[in-house]
Amino acid sequence: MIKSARLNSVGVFVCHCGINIASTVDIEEVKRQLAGYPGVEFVKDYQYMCSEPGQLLFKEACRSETVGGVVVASCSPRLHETTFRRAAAEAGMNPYRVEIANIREQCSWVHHDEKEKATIKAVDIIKSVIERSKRNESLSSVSIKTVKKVLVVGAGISGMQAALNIANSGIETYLLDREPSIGGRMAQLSETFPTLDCSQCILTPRMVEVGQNKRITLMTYSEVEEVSGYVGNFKVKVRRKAAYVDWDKCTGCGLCSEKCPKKVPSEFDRSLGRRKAIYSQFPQAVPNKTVIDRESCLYFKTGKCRLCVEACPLGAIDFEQEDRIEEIEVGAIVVATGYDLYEKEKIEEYRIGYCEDVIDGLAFERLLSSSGPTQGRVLRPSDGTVPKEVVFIQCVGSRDPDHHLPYCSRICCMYTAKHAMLYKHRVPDGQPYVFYMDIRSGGKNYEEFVQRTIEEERVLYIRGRVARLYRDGKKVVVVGADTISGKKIEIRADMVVLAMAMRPSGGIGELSKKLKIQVDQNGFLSEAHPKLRPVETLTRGVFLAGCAQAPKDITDTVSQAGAAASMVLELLSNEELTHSPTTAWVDEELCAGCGQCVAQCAYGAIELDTRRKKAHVNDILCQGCGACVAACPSAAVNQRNFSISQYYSMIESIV
Amino acid sequence: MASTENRSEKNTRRESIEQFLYRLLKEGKVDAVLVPKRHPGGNIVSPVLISEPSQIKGTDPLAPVQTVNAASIVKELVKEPVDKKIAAVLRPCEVRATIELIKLKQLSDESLLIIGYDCPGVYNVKEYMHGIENREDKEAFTEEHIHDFLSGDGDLVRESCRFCTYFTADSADVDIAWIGVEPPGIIVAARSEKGRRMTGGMNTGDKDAPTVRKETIGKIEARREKRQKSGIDNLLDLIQPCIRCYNCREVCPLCYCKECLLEPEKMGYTSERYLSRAERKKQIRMPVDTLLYHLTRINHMGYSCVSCGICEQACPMDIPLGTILHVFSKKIQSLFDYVPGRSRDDELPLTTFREEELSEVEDV
Repeated sequence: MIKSARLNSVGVFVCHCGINIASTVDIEEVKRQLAGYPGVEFVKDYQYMCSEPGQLLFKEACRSETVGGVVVASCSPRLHETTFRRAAAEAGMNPYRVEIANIREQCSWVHHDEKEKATIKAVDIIKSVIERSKRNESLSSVSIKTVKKVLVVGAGISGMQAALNIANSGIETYLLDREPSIGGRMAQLSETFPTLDCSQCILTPRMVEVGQNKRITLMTYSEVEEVSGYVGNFKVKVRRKAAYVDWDKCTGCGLCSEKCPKKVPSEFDRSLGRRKAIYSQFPQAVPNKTVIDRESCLYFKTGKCRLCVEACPLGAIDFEQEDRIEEIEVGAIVVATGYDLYEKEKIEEYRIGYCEDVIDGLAFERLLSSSGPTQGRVLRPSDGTVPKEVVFIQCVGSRDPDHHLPYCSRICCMYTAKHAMLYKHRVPDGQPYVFYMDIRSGGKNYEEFVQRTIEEERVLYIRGRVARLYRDGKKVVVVGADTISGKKIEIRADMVVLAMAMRPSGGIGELSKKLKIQVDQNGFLSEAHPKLRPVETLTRGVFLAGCAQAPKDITDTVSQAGAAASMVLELLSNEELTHSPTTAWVDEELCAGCGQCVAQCAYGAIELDTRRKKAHVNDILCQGCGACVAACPSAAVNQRNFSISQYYSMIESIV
Repeated sequence: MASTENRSEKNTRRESIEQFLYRLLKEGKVDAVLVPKRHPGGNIVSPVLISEPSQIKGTDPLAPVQTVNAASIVKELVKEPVDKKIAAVLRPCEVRATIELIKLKQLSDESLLIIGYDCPGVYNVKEYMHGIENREDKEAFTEEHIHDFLSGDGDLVRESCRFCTYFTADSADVDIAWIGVEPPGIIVAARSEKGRRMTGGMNTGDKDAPTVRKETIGKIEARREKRQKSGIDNLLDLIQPCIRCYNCREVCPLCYCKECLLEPEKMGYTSERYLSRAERKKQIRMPVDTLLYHLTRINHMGYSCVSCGICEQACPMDIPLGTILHVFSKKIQSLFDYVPGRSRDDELPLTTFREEELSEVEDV
């Protein structure tokens, strides 16, 4: 009896949070009202409970013999719940006997003009948490063994960087990409701002390093089919797409492609060049293997041809090949699926002017690239002549919340400056024009680069939007406004380059569902916290890198990939992981087996034993969100330390 | 296309149905039939589980009385898989409740054949017994009622039936239709693969065929739709008389919990709590939380409620529960474009997530 009385007693700390709470909530009044509340042993307050002296005060109280639980009335539990639970553990108290009463975000911040009522509400919030706390159990956390392997999805520069960092730290890594080769978007670029390094020259050594790394297993031309399991123990089914070429035999000699009679527009060259139906993406591809594009291949269409079979000295062509599913087990997953460009067809007002000579930024990269379809010469796609007047339009599709995408794509100011500069290098007597809204050149040496473009290269920057494009003979007429002079501008251009908005690459929605991670309103993957957890997702063990999270340049992408890798290494450096014990559980006496909780669980943590008609919660998969508790009409599902009787007493204490 | 076989020997629709059920059992298509039957004394008709064909005589599914929503009986009967084939002859609201229970995994339907029929509506039990007490010809009362149903529903018919628009059993395995068919004719139509398999050779046609049937159904629907209420503005007044006897919960076919969380001990009512609450609020009505009780029931039942009105019949305090449940459930169900019991393939609203649903509550 004495013991339970002790467990039912609670100590309360009220944090002022400087003036964040104290200027709205009358702390003295709160203390007065709570002083005689049943079960409350003491009420103390402090300026900043999270500060070192505040925590000392807290630990001292936890050590005291008189309380079974502690309530900290402060900010959201998302911020300092861990702080105080850890402090309690250090002081010898069960950490799950510490509860946070949120009187800042849910009270003082939202009621700062109604101080009296805010004080009453703060008291109510604290009382209800006291009731919850009195009924808490001393839980202990659950341990999970981890698989020390990692899957990186997307083998662009971010995925490659993350994979290298992880593999070089001694951890086996699978690097997956849906394309036949690693390299991603960066392999398509010509030169990179602000140093004008040749993109392929700096990328290919990395690609080779990845290809040679013994701890990296490449899974190119593959897709994530299904993900199950949980942090430390993911099971991933990978679809290895049929290449119709036996990669164990193929040496990438290219004889098959030479003989192949079927030519189609090359995706890699943004349709400015052509590839064969059997092809390798680009000369430096890693792995250097060919694939057959089934849609274009004459054999698959007509049953005849087979010239590649004749050409291949190694007998590697295999028309019978089928997709196969490979299952791998990993402890962590990095998602680095990169970006696509917004479709220019979606820009209604430009559409009338569209012709072969209106291209997007990536296509212009291919024109500039020395390994591109024109070997780096800037030529009009329509007739192969050198364009003398080229208009670059920035923010196409970006920063246009009414019609297109609301966000800034972040790299277009820089790459447009680079495009204009490189164009000027290639065509010294040509005239580039840039239409811009404003120039965003935050980044080391970025502003200097833009200034150099404007001043030294004499690129004409026009501040204003382009209203429409139309064709006049061989010219594309660009109609816009110069908002500085207030004049209407018409340029008869030979070529127009659109700096299209970046958007997450196709299929990210399905992938995010398989991984049970969130996407934001623009479809980019959501980070766990915008500032402090930028490479984590809310699903433990799944991390983000590169443009899948938001538009960014190569520098930031590489930095972020390194950050994601270090988070993975931190996670896997432990032999065992711990999991919060505040999970749901099913009272089998009450469970009627209707299965509504199973359908509610976003984490796949509940299974229904159809024979016994009982639901069962997997402790490790359960994230303690409580959706199943709400769904169960029988109140058979309960959450540890958030039981239904705890809810009732919380409500009872305030209504 | 009415069934004309043995017409001269039959006098009523009831007998036609009886004949069909007799054959079903006699020919071994099923091992038992659950069907309403008139009891000795003649004043009450309620479900009976029959395994001997001769006992089919006297069954009367059309009698305008419903002692229980028979889905409750079905739930009890096939709570676990059985190796005998059972035909349950059910009113449309009972068919729909049964289908909801199947979706809620509360019964094993492998060996269950759901036979539905056009329902002429019912009187509350007391009204029925009162009306039939002194009648010689009990069956004539049913025939008169059917006549009333076709022309306008009597005032004494159960309120839930007066506004019911689901009086045909479209989602049953087998459907017995008589509206728009020349009496004593009936049309037996298999509605599902299972229905076709289990009653093979006994079907008498496409019940949707007669145009007069469609017209009659349309007229009744229109008339009843007009009686439906779109809102309740005095809920608190309406439930004032509640004595928390739990009758509404007990008779509800869809209430499937093993132990109800609204039981006083589950709600954590202790002597001390009553007193402290009274102290805090100056006074509390006893029994407590009747509003919470009814709102919780609405919340739990609203997705699947078939508006059979059996709760209203069971209420000793005459609270119009049938109307209350109907108004709330209809709103809940329309949010999810869900009609309970319409099809086994419609997923329960709470177990599915569609990105576009409930967009009206998003703050974007």
